[in-house]
Amino acid sequence: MSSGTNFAYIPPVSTAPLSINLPTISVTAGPPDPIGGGGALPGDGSYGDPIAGFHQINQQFADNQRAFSERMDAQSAAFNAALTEQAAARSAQMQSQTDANLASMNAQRAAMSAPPITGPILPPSFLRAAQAALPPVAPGLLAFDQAPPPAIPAEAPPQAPDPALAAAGLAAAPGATFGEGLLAGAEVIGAALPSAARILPAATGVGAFLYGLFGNTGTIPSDAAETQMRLESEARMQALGLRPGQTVPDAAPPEGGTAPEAPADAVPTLPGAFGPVPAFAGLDPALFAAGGPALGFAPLPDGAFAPLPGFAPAVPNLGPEGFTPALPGFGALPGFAAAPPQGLALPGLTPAQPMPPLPGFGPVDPAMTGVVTLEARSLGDLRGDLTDTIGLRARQLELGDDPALGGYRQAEGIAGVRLEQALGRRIDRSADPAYDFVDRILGPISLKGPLPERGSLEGLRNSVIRDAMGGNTATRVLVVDTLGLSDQQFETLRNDVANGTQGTQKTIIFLR
Amino acid sequence: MAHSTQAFRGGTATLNDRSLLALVALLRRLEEREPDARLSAIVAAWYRAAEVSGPGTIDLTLDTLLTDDAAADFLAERLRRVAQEAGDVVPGAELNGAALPTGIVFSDFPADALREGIDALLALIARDGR
Repeated sequence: MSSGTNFAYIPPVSTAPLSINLPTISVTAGPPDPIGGGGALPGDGSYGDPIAGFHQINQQFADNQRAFSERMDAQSAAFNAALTEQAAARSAQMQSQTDANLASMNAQRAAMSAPPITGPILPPSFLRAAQAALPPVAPGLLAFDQAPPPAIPAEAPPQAPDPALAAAGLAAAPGATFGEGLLAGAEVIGAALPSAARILPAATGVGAFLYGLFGNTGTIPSDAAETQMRLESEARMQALGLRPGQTVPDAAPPEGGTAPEAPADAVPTLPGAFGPVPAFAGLDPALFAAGGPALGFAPLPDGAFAPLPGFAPAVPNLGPEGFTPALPGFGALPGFAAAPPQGLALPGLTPAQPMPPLPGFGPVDPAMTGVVTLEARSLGDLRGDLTDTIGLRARQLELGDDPALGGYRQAEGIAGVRLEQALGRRIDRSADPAYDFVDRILGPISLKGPLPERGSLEGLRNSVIRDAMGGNTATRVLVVDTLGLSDQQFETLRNDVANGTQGTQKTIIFLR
Repeated sequence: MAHSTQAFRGGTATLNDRSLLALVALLRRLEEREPDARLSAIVAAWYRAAEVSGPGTIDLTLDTLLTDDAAADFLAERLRRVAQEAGDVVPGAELNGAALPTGIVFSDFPADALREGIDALLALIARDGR
């Protein structure tokens, strides 16, 4: 290394003389430039005029721009048209698909679920359903009118049933008016019976034969009344130092003292009872004082009744199939049997003499040895109507279902329920496709009607006449449901059928 | 199921309503596959009949629709086609899809019951009873 530094500089030694070659620049007048307008004066319009050239270029540019715009417009229009066409096609495709999906869903829904409640709605309450009065009948014809019921005297004497009707299995129950035995006309019963239930005198062997009509079984208190009763009960219990579920303690006399006297309004000693249970608040306390325990209820001082421990309340199951008392030994009544006007019209009944079978209602359970007639009345409120409607609707679904060929037809269910109401007993859906219903008294039944809203009255008339005059030999009873017909239409139909079925061997029943 | 009595040229035949309505639905399916003016007229008339009828009151108006032997033969031929194509069971969805205006919801329908109804109808309208 040299002298101790890294950046020593030594200049090169010149060996030749320095010379620079510069370019030659000359300025002369060149040839005229046609593009640049050489040789022409601006604005003189000559060939070399630069302004004219500018205008020409500008014009060419404008022309090109216009042509370009026209091409673009044409392309845009074509593109828009194609898009519109595609959108329309797509929309139609989606609409078609949506319609198909909806139709499929509706079909599946219809196949999977019961039809909604549409069309004629059955009477909401059995208590206002069928009526008692029968119009005069032509030979071979029966008719059930649901006109307003006649007033039935409280002690109406038994009437002899019409022989023609008796032959058709429509005889009245003993001790009841004809309409009561014939029809499940709870309105008749409701009008004839007092509001309180009655019980047989003890001498006749009061027992436990519930004998009545399906429907509501007791007064359902309003929410306000129930709250009021509960508050009163709680106040009484609080005064006695009781908690809910506790009972009044036994009145054991304290040492050296006397037994405290229970308040007059003390809650009775009903284990498990929390205050009055107003299940039958509208019933006569005297009734349950004697017969209430047999029904599973105990009377309370304020006139209400509480269920006894271990008993299911003897409340009949509601429903058009009749009731099934909850107490052991009670058989289900096969159908409604007419209740007597005063709650008791079966003279001579004793424990040793069981209830005789009623015409048209089959044998009665011989274990039943007494009679307690409970008025089964409809309260007419929303809950009562709803209960009845639900029961009728369920029965309608059953009777509208065809066990022979499958499927459901609403109109047949409606007619079936109306026929049950008119007969006052259950009918069965036929498992034989040759006929519609079977009644244990009337036998196989053919059904005509009811007509739909825009139905043909002439078609109904013709079909009845054809069936009655030998067109259908599978049945001997023809039921014609005239639901929806006006009074005039009904009369016309009945007269035409009567005239057109002279000599028929069938029984024709009109449901009005 | 209710039964409706059909009349034709003085004779009568009683058919189960469900069989009858299933037949109408299947005839419509046939007409959709093989359009024919005569069959269209019959199907349309029977749809109207179903619309205004209740249980047991369906009137096929055969005397009105089958005015000559050719028309009766034509319908008989179509009825036989339906009977042949029915198989063992007619799916309920197919019948419900025909949208009969009757308030009926079909389940799968036994073809034997359908053929029984068709036979009764054929016996009524077919000249030679085939």
